Amino acid sequence: MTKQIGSAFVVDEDQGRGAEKEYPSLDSLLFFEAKWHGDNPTDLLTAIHAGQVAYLAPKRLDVSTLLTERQLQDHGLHLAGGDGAHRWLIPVDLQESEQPGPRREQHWFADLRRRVEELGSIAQDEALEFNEASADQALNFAMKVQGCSRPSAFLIGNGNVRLLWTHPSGQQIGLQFLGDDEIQFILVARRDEKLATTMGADRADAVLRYIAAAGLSRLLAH
Amino acid sequence: MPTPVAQEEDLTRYCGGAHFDADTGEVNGSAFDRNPKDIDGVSVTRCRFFSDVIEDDQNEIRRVVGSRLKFGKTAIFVELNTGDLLDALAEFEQEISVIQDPLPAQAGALPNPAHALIIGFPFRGEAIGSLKSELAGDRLRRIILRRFPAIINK
Repeated sequence: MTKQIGSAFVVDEDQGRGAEKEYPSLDSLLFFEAKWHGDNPTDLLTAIHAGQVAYLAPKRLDVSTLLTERQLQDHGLHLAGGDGAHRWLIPVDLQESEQPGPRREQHWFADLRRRVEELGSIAQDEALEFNEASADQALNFAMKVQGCSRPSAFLIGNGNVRLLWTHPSGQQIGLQFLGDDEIQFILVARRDEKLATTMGADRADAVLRYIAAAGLSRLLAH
Repeated sequence: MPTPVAQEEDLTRYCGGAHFDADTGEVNGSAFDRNPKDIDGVSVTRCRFFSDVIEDDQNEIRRVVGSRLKFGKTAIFVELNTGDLLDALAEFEQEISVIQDPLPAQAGALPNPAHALIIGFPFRGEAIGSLKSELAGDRLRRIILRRFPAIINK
């Protein structure tokens, strides 16, 4: 079966459910598993991302996926214990993305790069500040997060670039790139029919964990 | 004593290409940051002041505002309601008001009797792009009612 990078295919043999499902991201897979085992998915994800618990596939969740261990690490996750890691099967076509060298660009990446260059031109025309380090950081982030959709890109008055993913429901991921791997984030997630805001500044890997913990990973790929 | 703009009135704000991604159609809250031309507050224009006919009103806004600044090719105007704006910023517990501020003709610029100012925003002492400023911008971004292009492509 051909699957996109970032999807996963799950069969829980112990549960005898044999359901084969595809998931748009590793986070949604973990979310699914947490729900399956009766834990609070958000708490479990937060705990996993915070390193408080290891993801052990406790009930022998067999997973074949196109995600590599490196990609898991990019999500801030590490498989640990027993032969858990060996259960991650890597189909042949993924080997391409494991080759040394630059990551495979997302199909919209050229558009985003053009937009960021346009922001540089606007800054020049309008005598605005433009922080090249912020622009590079934003592009690197967008390239790093495999499977995400094209964000909107803006230049804010302090010269930094901001990427924004939105959903008609009011949910959003807003990331201002401060340079030096620091990102200021404003996440708006729907919880119990209300919109809850999470914000702060942190390193890129930590921000991805906040996004996952807020249940917004799917918005990245919306 | 400045005259407040009625809460029922809609306002429009110029939004340059830095704050509007034409490919995605998304506007960023930084459109409401104060720029060097916003001396006393955030500059806005009252909608339907020039005409009740929307198209005529928008054309006059383009003409009047365009006499003071050069429009970017992808720039737009965004519209939002005064009452919505005050409600959206109420959570910050800062004194914010929208006042009438008609501009006279000067140095080649046309008079703008519909000009108004958002006073108290961006928040005093907050750096542009700070978390609080950015959050406030996001709150305003979400109450945008309408938008129209700054330049009409013929």
